[in-house]
Amino acid sequence: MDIGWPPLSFVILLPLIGGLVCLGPWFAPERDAASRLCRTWSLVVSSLTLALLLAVAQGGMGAPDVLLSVSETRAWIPSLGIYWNLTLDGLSLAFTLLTCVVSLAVLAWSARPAQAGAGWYSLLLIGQATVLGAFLATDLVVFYCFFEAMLLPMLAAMALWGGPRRFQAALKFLLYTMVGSVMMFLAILYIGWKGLGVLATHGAETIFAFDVTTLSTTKMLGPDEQLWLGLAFLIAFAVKTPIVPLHGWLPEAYREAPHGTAAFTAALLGKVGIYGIIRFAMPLFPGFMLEAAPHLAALGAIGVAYGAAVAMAQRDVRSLLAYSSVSHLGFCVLGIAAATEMAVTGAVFQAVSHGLVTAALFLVFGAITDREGTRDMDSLGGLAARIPVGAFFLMVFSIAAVALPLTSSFVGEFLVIIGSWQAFPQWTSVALIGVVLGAVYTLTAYLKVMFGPEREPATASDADLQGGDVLVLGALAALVIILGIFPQGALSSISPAIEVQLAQAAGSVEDEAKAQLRAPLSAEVTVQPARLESAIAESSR
Amino acid sequence: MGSGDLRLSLVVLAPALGALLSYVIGRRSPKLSGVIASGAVLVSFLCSVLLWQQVGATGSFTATLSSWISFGDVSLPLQLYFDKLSAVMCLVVTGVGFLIHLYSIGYMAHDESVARFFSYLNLFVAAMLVLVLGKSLPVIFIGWEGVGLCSYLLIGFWFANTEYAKAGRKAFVMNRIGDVGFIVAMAVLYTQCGTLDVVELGQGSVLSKLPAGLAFLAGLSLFVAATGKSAQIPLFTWLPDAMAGPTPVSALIHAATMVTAGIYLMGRMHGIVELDPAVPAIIMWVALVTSAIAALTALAQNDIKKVLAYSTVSQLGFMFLAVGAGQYAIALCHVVTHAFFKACLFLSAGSVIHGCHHEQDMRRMGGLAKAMPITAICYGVATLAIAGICPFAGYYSKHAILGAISGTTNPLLVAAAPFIGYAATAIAVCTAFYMARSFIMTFLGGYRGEGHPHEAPLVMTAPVGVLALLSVIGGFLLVHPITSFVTGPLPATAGEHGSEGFVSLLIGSLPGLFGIALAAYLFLVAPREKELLRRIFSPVEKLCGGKFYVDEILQVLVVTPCRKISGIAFRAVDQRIVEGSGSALGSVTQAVGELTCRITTGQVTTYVLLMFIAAAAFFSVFSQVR
Repeated sequence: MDIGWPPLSFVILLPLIGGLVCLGPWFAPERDAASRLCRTWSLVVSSLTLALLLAVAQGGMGAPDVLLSVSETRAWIPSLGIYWNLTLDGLSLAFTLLTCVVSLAVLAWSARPAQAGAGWYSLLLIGQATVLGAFLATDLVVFYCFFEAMLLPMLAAMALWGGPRRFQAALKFLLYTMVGSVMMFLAILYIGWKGLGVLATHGAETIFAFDVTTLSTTKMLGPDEQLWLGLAFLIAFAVKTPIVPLHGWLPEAYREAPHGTAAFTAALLGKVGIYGIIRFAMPLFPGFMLEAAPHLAALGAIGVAYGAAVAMAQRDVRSLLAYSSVSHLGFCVLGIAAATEMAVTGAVFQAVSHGLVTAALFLVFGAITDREGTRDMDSLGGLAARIPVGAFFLMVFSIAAVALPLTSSFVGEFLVIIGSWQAFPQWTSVALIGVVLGAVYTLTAYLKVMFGPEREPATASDADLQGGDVLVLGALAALVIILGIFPQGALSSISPAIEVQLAQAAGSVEDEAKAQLRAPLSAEVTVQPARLESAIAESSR
Repeated sequence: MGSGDLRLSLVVLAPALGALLSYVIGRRSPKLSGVIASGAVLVSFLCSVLLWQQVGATGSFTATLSSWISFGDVSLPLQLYFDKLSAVMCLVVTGVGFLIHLYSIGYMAHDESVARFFSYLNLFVAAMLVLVLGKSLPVIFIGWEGVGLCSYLLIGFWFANTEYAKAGRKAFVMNRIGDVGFIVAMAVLYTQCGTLDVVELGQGSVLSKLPAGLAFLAGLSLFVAATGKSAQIPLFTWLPDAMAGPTPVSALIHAATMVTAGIYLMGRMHGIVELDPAVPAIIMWVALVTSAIAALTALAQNDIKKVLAYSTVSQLGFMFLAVGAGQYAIALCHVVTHAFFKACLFLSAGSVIHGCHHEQDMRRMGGLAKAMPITAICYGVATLAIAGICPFAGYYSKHAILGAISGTTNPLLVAAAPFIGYAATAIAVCTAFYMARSFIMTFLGGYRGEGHPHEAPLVMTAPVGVLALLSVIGGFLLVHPITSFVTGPLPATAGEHGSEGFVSLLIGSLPGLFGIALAAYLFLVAPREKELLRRIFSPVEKLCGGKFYVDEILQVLVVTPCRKISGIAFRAVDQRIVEGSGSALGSVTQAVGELTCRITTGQVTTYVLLMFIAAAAFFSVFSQVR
């Protein structure tokens, strides 16, 4: 569709420019006034971004049964086949909306690191822009730029305002992700180089040598190439997600980062890994993904059980949330590996739900631990009577974390479990261990923090959660419950996009002759491969 | 069926709304809280009655609340379904639930969080109704988890006591283990049959899609789910601990309604449970062992609520005996009569605890019949009912269960049926004995405690009285319909019960009479012989009193290994291997730290170098291509 101005670029540019503007007051002499101003400014910018995104999606939706697809193309380095290609479809919409909501929640949250002034808002806005970019780009180089860039604001926030071991945590975080992304970068170079050659022979006018949609239709990568390139991509995404055993950076990063940064990182950065596998790895390396599926399913399921088991041994609230994230994201990995429409849709839904719930949990626990001056659950207790509002919200989000029905997490987990059972019943059973252990560590944490006799806290301020924060948590809780009771809207927006991704993957396995140059994501693509395997079976027949 | 839709939705929505209102309004004026909550349940009860009158033996109403998880080919709408089977459960849940709500107004009058209490209680009723009205397994699962959550919240209602809060957590986790069975069953059924609708899953053409092995898996998984919720071996130890909750909660959730959800599930999914005869056989044996262990344990309990809790486990085992024998209508009949007399017993016990100023130990009671005559009569009537004495409610359902056992046609059970029948009769004797013992210790003899026990107020005694009345006539009313009770959705029951002569009625009551007589002899007539017996049977008593050490066995076999694995996974695997440098011991930490530093600086350089090489390669390659 053509609106005359590039709406998707604006979705990225708005928070980016807004963030850069905040850099000025960061160094202003009147720190308090400046940071108050920046807070209002950032809330306005972030709300506008959300509104713009919704408007674009609304405009792109058009008729009810036409697939959402807004694309944008402009030349960046045409001689190398690099284009500024952005696409908003059901898949990216789910993640971009999550990004906007979580950013808004973190920006609106009253507590921020003590020394952080305007810079706090600046870094969060820039972070939002880069994450949005990663979720919208379909050109591999553009995606890579955002994929790397989004680390910087989070690392900066961690290094500036983090805990006592913040430098070590930041360095570890940086190294882990760099190791993955170097490999992915090399793989992208190779793909682009080959794509440029292959596409040139087709004689097209514009050569999108790095565009994932175009590349996936050429089926130019042989099995060996798919193995090495796919592995490189997968490792990069696995570190980010994180997939066990590449999660080593995560506990320390979550422990040392400020609350808001931890909430932002946990809710959004990992989702880029999930998104990347579905958006890039599946259509680019369909054969490899098919071969890797059992291993990926195993890693996902083991991640669910392992993360939950380790979470049980934690005393620090942040570590608990870190390992519970590992456990919950394992479901996403399992669902993606199963590659049925149900399971992958469930995985995306689960990722979005986890983003909302985890962000909320980081914020609530952050408020509680700040109030009590400790993060050790064993030295907390008896708070339910003192801070009833906090206790209520912690209960709501704990219930959501345990994935009880009528919360969004249940829909995600349920779809993943039912959808994955068809492909990998044994690994799905392993993941079910995590369902039980999840209840154990979540309720144990709640019990230790909230229940038991009241204690006299070290800093005896009887402040419960206040106005603005209650609003933030209320909105997040409402979203979690609304998505749990009425998930059909979100699901029917996500699932056609997933269908297209699966069809692209199956299509490039199935039939080289169908290869088209830059096939637009459109409603015409209606191939419904229940499993990649069935598509292969058909093609071999 | 247009009007059915609205009323059916109202059955669930009334208590759901009540949960909200009783909290919001109740926080300002606590006295209104209980009234609103009771009113909401009453509305739900009246709607159920109206629907029940119209539904007929084989008819049904359906209400769609939301299309829920529906996209692409997947269609799992949020639908309610009302037929004769759900009707019976609905009436019990809302009817008995209403009486217990009324009672709670008196019982909880002095509690400071009364609004929270009624809110949870209403939420429980709503969840329980979703459970019994769900049209598909995922909808049933909403209720299934919902009642589990409310049970958790209400067991730990007085959360300032850490032990109570822990009991709540234990209940939730043990139920969660059962829930895994539920999830597996849903996964298997959806994968094989392509639907989770309970009506479709009852059709032969759909069930024939299940291969033999998976039919066994699906049936067994459903039973695993039932063992969690309905407290059967090995997942029953949470129920006695659940007595930490306020007594009306024990009556409503842990006696009359939630714990019978497993039996309801078996009845609802009987087509799948019966597919493989091994499943009913397993159910039968598990039920028998559970029932026996619980009955023996109840013999040695001194806490009045604990006696009733173990008795509940034992009676649930009886219901599962009927399920194992394929007589779901009889099982359901016992669900109903049990709801009457066990709710009556719990509420009477609540009145006693209330009247004795929170004393629960029967050794410090005695002679309370004088102080609280109404409560004593109600408790006595309900005791006769649970013992299975002739005209009382329990007799009919219990007698029918014993008949069902001997009439089983399951090839795997036919040989053992006589043994199971004798064992079940022995358990019936045992039941009568420990219930009579609890009655005698509480209400007869002289008062052994301190303080001045007093009778409960009318708002408490009236509901107990109604339940006592139902314990008397409940079975009588059901006895003829026992064949037509819920025949619609359930397989027909062999119809040889009810029309028996006086002599056989007497014979049927014999186990109960014998048990009561024995207790009366030992505790009233010849207490010295009781002492002698105790000395002889002291090892047995120790075993019984220790609940057969099931908790301890689970601790050693499950909990401790889980903790160990968790600790090893964290300390040995994650901190050493995955997280690496962080937390190695003493000087090793420093050495490792320095080493990592050296390696990591190397890696940064490598990285920068790689970037340069890559960029150089990139441009050289592309310059050649163009």
